[in-house]
Amino acid sequence: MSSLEKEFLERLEQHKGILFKISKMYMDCPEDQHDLFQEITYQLWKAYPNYEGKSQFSTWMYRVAINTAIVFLKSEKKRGFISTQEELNFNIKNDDNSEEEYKIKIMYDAIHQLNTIDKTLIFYYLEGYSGKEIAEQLGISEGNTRVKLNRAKQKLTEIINQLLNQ
Amino acid sequence: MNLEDLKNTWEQEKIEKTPEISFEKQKELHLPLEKIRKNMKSEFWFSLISFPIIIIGIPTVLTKLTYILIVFLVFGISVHYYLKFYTFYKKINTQNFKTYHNLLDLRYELVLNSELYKSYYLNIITIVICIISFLFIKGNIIFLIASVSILTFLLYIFGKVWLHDMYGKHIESIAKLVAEFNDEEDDFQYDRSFIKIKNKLSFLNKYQNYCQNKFGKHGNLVYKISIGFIFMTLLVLISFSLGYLTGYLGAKYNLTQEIDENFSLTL
Repeated sequence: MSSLEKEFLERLEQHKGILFKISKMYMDCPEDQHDLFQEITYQLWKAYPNYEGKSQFSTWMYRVAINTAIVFLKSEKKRGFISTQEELNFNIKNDDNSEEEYKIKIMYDAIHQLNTIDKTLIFYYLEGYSGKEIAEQLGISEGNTRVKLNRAKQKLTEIINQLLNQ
Repeated sequence: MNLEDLKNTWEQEKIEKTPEISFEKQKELHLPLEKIRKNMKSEFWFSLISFPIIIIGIPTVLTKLTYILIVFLVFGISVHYYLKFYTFYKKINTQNFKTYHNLLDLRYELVLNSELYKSYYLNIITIVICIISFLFIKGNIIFLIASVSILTFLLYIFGKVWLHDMYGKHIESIAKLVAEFNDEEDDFQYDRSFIKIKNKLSFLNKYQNYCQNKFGKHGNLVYKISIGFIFMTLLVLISFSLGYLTGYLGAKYNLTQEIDENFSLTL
């Protein structure tokens, strides 16, 4: 293993949880979540030699991960063919009825109903990025970002309320 | 649950187990660029291997010299274009860009390449049509014109469907994301031609979805094989009907004109 690979793996190890959360946000099927996670780590590794260290590693990593996730194509495999048992182990156990896990389930169910751009905005919002920082990551104006973010938040709240009232 | 609760839920979620990290490429491709790259690679080898074999099948019309010239011509054109594609796909790396710029750049590069692919397709198709014309040049002129016209039309439609399947659908979905970022359309149009294939042949997308649902991971292969089979059957049927009709009308009304037998391609 080269020193670059070792360094990259060490950095990735600290952030792999958040990368899997991104995969869960963008994909609803466990197999697609697994594939997206692999794709993100592969793309990060490919792009790593170009990381100049001008921004924080996490900021750069989020950008590459989001760029990968938004154009990621779902699996062509028929869902019925997939043995989901193994993949489900990566997910939350739905039969455990603790309140926290119920909230997590509602959160992802609601996020899955948003469009791709709204998912991206909500991700940065949940990670505590300001409007200015989100605009910087996305490459659009701050004003545009704030308008879109408010709209996405409103949409998400409505969906959550609908899910809770069901 | 309000947004503050949501933030807390997000922070509190602990991912204890993730898939194993592997830098090896997955077997299934999930990014548009990589799918196109793989298609290009297989098409390159397919065209290099299949063309000489196809031409061997028609030795009665072509002399050895013509045969060699055509093979070299096709080989040269293919290598020229695929080298361009290869350098393009090697060079492209937009993952470090800001998300919106990444999408714009990706859309631009894909459009540029689809145009390059069109010009490659046109080059090859012209040669194919010329060869077909050589085959029928000793026949009657009506049959020759009608066959070439129908073949050209079918190849045009086939090319458009193929191109849309390979590039168009990805470009359109990226263009949709760009529009969502802007909240407005930016007048981008992938298909600027007179005949808009997307609306007219939307049943093909439905059929492709049907194949994917029915046959799972082999759905795309089944779709491509069946479409190819239908295309070839149509081609044979139309050619046969046309030949029969031309012969029948020519014999009945003496409308056909024999081309001078001395005018043949004997290079």
